[in-house]
Amino acid sequence: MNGPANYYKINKDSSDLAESTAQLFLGVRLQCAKCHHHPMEKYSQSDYYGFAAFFARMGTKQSKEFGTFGRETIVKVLSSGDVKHPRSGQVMKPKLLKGPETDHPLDRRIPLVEWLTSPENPYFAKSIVNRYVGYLLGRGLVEPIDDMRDTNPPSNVAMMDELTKSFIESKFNVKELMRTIMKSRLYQLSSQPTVENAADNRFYSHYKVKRISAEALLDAIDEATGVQTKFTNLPLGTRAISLPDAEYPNEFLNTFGKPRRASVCECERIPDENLAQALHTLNGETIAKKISEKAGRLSSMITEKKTPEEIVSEIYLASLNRSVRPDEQEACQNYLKQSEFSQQAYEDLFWALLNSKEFLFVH
Amino acid sequence: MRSNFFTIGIILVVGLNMSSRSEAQTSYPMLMSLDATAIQVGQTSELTVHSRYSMFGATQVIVSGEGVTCEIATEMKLDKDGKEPSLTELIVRFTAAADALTGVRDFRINTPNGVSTLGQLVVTSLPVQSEDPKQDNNSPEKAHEVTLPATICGTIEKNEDVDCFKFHIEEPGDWTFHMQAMRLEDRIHDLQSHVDPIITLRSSTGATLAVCDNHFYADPFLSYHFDQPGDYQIEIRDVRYQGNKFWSYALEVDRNPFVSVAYPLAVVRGRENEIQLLGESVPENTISRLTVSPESPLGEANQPFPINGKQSNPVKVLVTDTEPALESTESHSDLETAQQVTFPGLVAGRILQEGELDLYRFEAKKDSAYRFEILSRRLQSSLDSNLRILDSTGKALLETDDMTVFRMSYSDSLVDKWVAPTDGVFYLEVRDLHLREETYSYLIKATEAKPHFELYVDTDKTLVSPSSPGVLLCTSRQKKRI
Repeated sequence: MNGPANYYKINKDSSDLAESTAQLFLGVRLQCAKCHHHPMEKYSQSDYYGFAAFFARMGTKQSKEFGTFGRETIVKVLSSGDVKHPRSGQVMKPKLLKGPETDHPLDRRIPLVEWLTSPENPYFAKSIVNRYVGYLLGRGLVEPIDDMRDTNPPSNVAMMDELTKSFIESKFNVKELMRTIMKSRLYQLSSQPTVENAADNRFYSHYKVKRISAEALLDAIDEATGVQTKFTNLPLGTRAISLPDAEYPNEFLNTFGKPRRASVCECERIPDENLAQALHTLNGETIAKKISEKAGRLSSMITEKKTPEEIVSEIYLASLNRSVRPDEQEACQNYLKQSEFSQQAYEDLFWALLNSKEFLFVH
Repeated sequence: MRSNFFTIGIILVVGLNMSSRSEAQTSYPMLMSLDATAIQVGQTSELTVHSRYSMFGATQVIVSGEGVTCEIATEMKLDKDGKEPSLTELIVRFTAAADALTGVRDFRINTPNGVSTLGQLVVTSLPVQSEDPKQDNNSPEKAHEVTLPATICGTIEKNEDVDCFKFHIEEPGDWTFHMQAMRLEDRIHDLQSHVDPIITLRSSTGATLAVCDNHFYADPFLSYHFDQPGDYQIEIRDVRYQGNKFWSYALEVDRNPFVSVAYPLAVVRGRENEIQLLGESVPENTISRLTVSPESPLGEANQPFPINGKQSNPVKVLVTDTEPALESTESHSDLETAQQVTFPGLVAGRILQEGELDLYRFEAKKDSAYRFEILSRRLQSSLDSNLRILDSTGKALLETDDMTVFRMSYSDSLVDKWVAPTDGVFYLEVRDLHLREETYSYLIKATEAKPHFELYVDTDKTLVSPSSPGVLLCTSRQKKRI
């Protein structure tokens, strides 16, 4: 299964493909226009079905070339196929969003892709810029980040225009875009709000604290505890961020909102913290088991008879990615001493670090 | 080729003098895999055949083609109760002559319960180095060391199996990694699930340098230039992390160019042929000259070509007596520039650019009937052909994509019968269905459409039992009315 083919396997018809393509690459949600022309929005049913016509000739065929029992599906372009307007019954010609009709004798998607990635395209670059602003700064200039429309303008038009211009000039270089954002003053602002800007959650007056996403968090717990999560039918060592698809059920990932990849909507990933997540890290099995695992980092250090100071230093470094401060070391040693340096006391200390905001949140 | 071999095999088996057995209802053995699955030319190697149903009493191994022989090495012993054991692992001793043609050979094992289904053996020019099944090589830290060039043999024997091999590159240069795994399973009768291999080339620190999933069908092929001498690793696994104890592979790792496809795809008997050899690792404009004997069998052949004094890997070509018309070097992508050809006939063409269309102009009389067949995929080219017949105005009269032969479908195209509606000019258009930018080679075989039938020999079910008449399951299909 390759990525592009999978896109056509999931989005099975011209409507699905039009809606997914518009939302994914242009940040435009066309779904409403399928049934009506919303008075506040600019896209009509004609726009919808004209755009869907680009995908009217997508089809599949079966193949036995990868083995008689393989039954592979090959995505192909058909030589015929059209989309009709549901009200007028008119056969729709492929038409760019608020642009001209266009076509290609071999594959209608060719002019669509040329338009989509053209520097003059009014949607593509803005959509990508907005996504990366959202990913890196915690909030897009437009929110939701894949819902760009006239009635949902950017919070900072000048910033959107400048970033978009820079992104196009760099020939859509995403690394360069990320570099620009991450080198900015906004990205480097403290997450500690002042009295004046505490209420702001829109204009980037302070860095927005956010929980680490599900896959990265599980990988971070694995790394800190030294105990890797085993996913069914994947070799030990496969990280959560490397899971090939959504067919690897895991309670932790589900609780922390890993998307099921059933749609292209960014809303599939649950953005907010919730009680189930808190209970899972506090009382759930994932962290507790990994901390006490015999082959894990903590048990290994105790078996190796490392000093209490060495153990505290290492669990701080492994979980918080920084050295323990003297006052923290002193507090930890006092606690361990009171508990007679029992394994349980070490585990409790490690548990506290993995439940700290410093570990769970990007700040 | 396939039918020829089976026909010969069956005749041989029926002619053998073997004692009759009372357990005639016991199934003939079904070969599942060969471990290791490759042998180097000029060598004798003991390999293990795995089967369903017993191979006890096996007396003979029949190998296709010339230059490879095999004998049974396992001593046949009754068990302690004096009964025949169920022998599903058999040691056989293959010998490949120094001049044996490299590539895949078929073999069968003759047993008292009948002749086995097909097994497949890779004959390679490179030293064979096999995975040690007793040693874990599932991670880079535990990678087995191999010395290149080599044919690395192993098995993706269980779910989540990852085979890691480390090697040293002495100096910068181009290397090719050619995997044969899925293609070795096509003719294994009882293997329900097939491997889908993927190979990953890594640096000594584990960084991914190159990955290939599918090239020759599901089998990967990599051509990689090493800038630096040093230690590297190759990782082999099923792309789904599935496994099966019968999923054997042979990965040929070599410094010599690997020829993927030839142009033209046809060689004419009895004369010298000038062939352009194509492939990622083959230098541009590599031309080879080959004289084909007038006695060579017609049809598909695995043909090595001379390059720089050496023989290339075998490449599939069509051996024919028909002189192919070569595609014009000028663009002929529309009605105005279409290349004039005469049908019936054979045309050899290439697709070199993204979205390329090749148009051929031909004249036909009203009611004359033609059969058009594209040969490409079956001759090792990766083209997924799309064939159209256009009238003089460019209007499509007929379009076809894949073809079906008996139970198999192929990406090649076939128009079994097309009748010219008028006297006049028509066009044949060939393109890659996906408009891909690769180098494809193809043949258009245009013949007069005549009533005919197709005869299929179901090679899996030979049902040849000792000292009794053999039963051969054949299917004939009438194509057009006879």
